[in-house]
Amino acid sequence: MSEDYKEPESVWTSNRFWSRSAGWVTGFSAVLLILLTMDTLGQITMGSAEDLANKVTKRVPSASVINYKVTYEYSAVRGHEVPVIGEKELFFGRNDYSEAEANALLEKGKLTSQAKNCMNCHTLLGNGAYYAPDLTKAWLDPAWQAGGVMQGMTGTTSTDEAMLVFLQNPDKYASHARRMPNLGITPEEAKGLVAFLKQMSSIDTNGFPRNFNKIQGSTQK
Amino acid sequence: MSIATPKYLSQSLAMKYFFVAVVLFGAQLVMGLIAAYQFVNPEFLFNVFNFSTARMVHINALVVWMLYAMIGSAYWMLPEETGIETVGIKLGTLGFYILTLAVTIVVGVYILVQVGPGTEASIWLINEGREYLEAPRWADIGITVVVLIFVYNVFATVMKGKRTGITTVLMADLIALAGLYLAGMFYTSNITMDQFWWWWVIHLWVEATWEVFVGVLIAYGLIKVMHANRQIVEMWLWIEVTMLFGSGILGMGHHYFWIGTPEYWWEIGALFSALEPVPLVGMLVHVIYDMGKHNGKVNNGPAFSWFIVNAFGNFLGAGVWGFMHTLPQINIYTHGSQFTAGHGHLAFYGAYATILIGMMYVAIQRRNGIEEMRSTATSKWAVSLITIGVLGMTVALTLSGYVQAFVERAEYGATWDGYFIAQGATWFTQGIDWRLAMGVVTFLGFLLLVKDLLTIAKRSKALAN
Amino acid sequence: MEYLDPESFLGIFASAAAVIMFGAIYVGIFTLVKIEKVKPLYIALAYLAWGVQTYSMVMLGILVKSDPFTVKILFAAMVGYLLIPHFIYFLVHRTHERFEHI
Repeated sequence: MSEDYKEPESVWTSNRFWSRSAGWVTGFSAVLLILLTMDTLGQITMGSAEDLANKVTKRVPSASVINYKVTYEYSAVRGHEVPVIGEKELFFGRNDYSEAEANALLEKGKLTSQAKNCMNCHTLLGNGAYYAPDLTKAWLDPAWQAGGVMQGMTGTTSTDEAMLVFLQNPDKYASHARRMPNLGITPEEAKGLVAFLKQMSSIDTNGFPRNFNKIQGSTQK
Repeated sequence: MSIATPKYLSQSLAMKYFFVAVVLFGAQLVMGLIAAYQFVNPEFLFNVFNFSTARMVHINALVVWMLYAMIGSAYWMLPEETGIETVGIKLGTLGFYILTLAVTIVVGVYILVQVGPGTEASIWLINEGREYLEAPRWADIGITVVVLIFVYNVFATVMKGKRTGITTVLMADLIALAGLYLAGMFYTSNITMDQFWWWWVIHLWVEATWEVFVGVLIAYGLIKVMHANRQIVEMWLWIEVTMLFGSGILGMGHHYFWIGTPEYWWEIGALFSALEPVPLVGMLVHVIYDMGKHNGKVNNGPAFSWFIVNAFGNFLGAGVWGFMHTLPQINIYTHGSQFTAGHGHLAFYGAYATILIGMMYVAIQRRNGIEEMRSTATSKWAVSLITIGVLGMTVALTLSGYVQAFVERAEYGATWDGYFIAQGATWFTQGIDWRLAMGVVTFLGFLLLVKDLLTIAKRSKALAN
Repeated sequence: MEYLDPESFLGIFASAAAVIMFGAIYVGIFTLVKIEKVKPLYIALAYLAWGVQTYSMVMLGILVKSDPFTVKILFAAMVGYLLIPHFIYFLVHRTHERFEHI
């Protein structure tokens, strides 16, 4: 404080009052954010293979979710669509990936998604660039299902195979003038990416993106 | 009152930081133009220099030039505020060269190597692939070290010299800003967890600590450019800090609507983001009040116009464009569309680019001991063209985003099919075309800005003689 | 969360923008009147802007299908907003008096 500082006439014009308010308000907000963060971290920690086997719903299921069928269904209670994990389903011909194997696949996929800079064209969970489609529910997208354009174009009969073939040579299978470039993705990386996309589709995103399976004939209306 | 200041080394260092900032600003615009053109003609440089690379350099150059200009502004203000040369300035200068070398290597690798195999090594050496935080891990560590030197410079100088409200806020803010960067430096396979912490860096930077930094610059600017009373300005700064952190910290909630985090963030996000415009309105009132009281008497014309564009631009870009799509009910339709891009363009420009350019003019004036620096025709054209360009891009992108919300989200349920149908809609493509045109206008304005920054001191001196 | 009618999107964006824009017009004119840059009569315009802002806010609340209780809260928030510039001006004025006219 400078020497010519005078005792304030009113608290409202006091520097000291406002600097303290700033400290208290900031501190209070920060503490609240930290408390909320601790609660949220608990809720977004990845589940386990056991949770899946016992049908325990987690916001972010274990990588082992690749052994199961994932669907996106309207929940009347929540008021929006939620991912539903169903019966076992083949993923590249197997449905018995151990948790360690599934985690390794997921890690390969997540690392590849970063190394190949997917996020600077696509959005993941709605974040990223807007040059290419959102990948949040790509695994469930009609384009990749039986009868969808991607399986037809790649000459495959399942979502996982279609994605595997596409990712290695995306510029050859263009569905639109805006093509995906060839990023030198290896078969191993592509398999990891498919696991990553499947696991991401099972995350509970509070109904985002809106209306997702509406045109597929959702249970809503 | 003379404004000539002794030649502090700290201020020489500031000029270096400003110089690199302007170079990176130019790089940002060139990359933006490439990316904008690829939207119009997707075959342009396809498989050679893809959109993802252009866009990565576009947003990284943005973040880095702003950090450079912020560090430069701090080195500029420090000796004037504390009355002494910055402590450890030699170390600070060394830090500048290390940082600039690192940035050059990182950009070189981005442009030449672009992507790597899906291994940890790629994340350490090539790019981390997380929007805005793409810098590879080795560079993260380097940046942290240089920033620590910078924080030490500020801290030691403030402790040794005269302590003002401005330097106190600056110091606290910088420590928070630097510390937050650490939240973005780890790998996890859990994409929800990844984005949760990613927002700690991005949100708490651009909607909290950077905004407070702007508050510090406005306070300094009002004192130096308009001769506003320090006591009042500093009290206002504290009020601004109270309002900015009070709304901004928990405003984080609006990024946690859809990434897998619990629903309670809907209410927290909606409430606190509705409060976020309040400090911006406060700044607006304060600037209008001071302009009225001082009858617009200023000693630095161009800096003053950039400060005014800042007050309105921050309000429009962050306030209006933010609030338009911040409520979760509507955000679920607009999130991840060109709407966000529109908001991003105007908010980064209005809140940050403007004030930092204003600071560069302040530095040029005081460095050259110019009592009164008037706007030249070039200064006026520069600020007008850039502002029109950015506003134009924002409106164009908002239109495109509107089409996306309507067609892609509401009609087609955010499927790939819906995405491409919306991308082909006439209104969408027109928006994209206009964005490119307005990007060119922005770039022309930038060229004039560079010319003006390089020549205005000479012209003003010639005018004075 | 309710599904929104796409036809109401434009109204939502417009009313949200109007809330902030008229909010600024309100405090802008209010400040100008207080520092005697424009005639005191203009204060009516300021309050009119607040009225439009409040209307926009309630519109916004209805368009995003908030429940009636939330709409009431929004209205209460607008009353708060009516008072904010009075308070901010009070602060600015008092500090100026204290530090500049002693």
